Amino acid sequence: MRRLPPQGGWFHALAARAPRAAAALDSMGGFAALVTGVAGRLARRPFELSAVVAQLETIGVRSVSVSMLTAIFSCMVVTIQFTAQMARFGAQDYVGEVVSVSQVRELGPVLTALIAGGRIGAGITAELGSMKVTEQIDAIRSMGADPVRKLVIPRVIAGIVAMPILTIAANVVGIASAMLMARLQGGVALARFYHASVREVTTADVLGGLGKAAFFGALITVIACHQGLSADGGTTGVGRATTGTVVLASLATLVSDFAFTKVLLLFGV
Amino acid sequence: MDTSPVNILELEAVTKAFHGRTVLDALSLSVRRGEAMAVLGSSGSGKSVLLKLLIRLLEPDAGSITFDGRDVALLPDDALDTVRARMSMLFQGGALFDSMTVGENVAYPLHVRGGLNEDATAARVHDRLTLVGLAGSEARMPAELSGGMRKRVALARAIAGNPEVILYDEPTTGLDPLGARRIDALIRSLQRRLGVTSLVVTHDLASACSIADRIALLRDGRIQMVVTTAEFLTSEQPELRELRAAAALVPAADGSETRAADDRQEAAHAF
Repeated sequence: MRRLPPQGGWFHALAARAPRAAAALDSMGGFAALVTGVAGRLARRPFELSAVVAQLETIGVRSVSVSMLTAIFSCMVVTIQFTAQMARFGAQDYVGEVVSVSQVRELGPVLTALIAGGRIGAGITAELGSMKVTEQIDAIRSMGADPVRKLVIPRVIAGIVAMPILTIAANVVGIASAMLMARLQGGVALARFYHASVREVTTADVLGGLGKAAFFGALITVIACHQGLSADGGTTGVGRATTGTVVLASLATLVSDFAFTKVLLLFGV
Repeated sequence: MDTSPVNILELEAVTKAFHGRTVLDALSLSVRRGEAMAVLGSSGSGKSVLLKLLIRLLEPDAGSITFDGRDVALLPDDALDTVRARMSMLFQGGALFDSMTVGENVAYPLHVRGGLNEDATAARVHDRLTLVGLAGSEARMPAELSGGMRKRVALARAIAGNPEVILYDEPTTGLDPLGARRIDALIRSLQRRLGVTSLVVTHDLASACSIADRIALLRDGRIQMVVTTAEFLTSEQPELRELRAAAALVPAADGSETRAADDRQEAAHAF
């Protein structure tokens, strides 16, 4: 079969992609507008405290178990691997330092953001997306209320507050389970692990990790709200937006974690 | 002397396109204060867009939209809130807030606006729910209600803040014929009792005839003609005959449609 000639080369190829590129730019513009809108409204209090408390329950309290389970198993696996590798050099006694520092600085905030954040983000997008496609967002606007103030701000505040608290809970149970695993796997005394953790983990490590967690909380909730508020095309659109949130929030967490880590290291943290 | 304009809503050469597809094409329409007007058009003819432009949920690409003599598109946010407080919209699916009870839904516009204490708000909510025949259902959740009941709660919410203009987006869609006629009757009685201006967009001919004083035909993004409901039911114009035939809305043997027409004329004289 004869191959069809290319229709107009690179220019047409670019032009054919133009609508998608325009849609992507439009979406980015919408996201940037939401970020500035949120920042502006966060600066101008008051917030609706009852809405924030309700969101803290949905976003925070209901994510505690999933965050803790993630921390327990990830810390246990890391401990098993490190203990086995370090035992080859007779250095398994130092596993406490390594695991605690990596949990507090990286694993705690990032894994909590990935797992609990996925749950939180998907929930927010599904809820706001359903409200969007059933015209509830339009109804709010038509009555002269502000959907960003009503719906986005309480979720973002709850995300910023809840994510560090979830991370603290994850760190505590994660390090405790690592301690137990190091004892069982490598024969590291519990007291040795404990003292090594307390000595090696600095306040800067803890605050750096929690700062990241708060940032991820804001990032995930803003992405999720934006996806929800821009959902269209009925229930299929809501499903699409929700999937999009999980992918975008996870990628944004990983990429911004890399950037964050580099910046913190520049400042010697 | 009352200097307020006769036409409370005025659209002048309004154009709106989505993704290169023109939905409204230089559309012009005037709605008189206190009348009930129905805009009749097929699905996808831009009826909902028309309403969303009026309450500025959408911005027109061209043309002007005035509410009580003020250009809606040029209003700053605080003035827009004032306009929105005088207009309310009944959304197609009701758009009730799922996370709130029926009572909280009806009270929502009152809370947004402020100025009423808790007792007065509760009394207003009770009164509005009574008007739509749902007294005592304040504590129920929207998910527990049937489609018709949801519409009625949405209607109670729409009239909670004493609006001057109510915009109805397909009020009878998704309802069984009896439920649809019940909503029509409710809209008509509210129209009389509250003295509001109603703009109903619908593809339901029977609904349009039973609610409206005047009917505007929307086709190809423009208003093709505006006629009184009596003219609509009796005119020999081929286009109207065709429409009536399509909906089997010829004057029935028992004269019920004719009665509806008389009814509307009577209402028209009352203004």
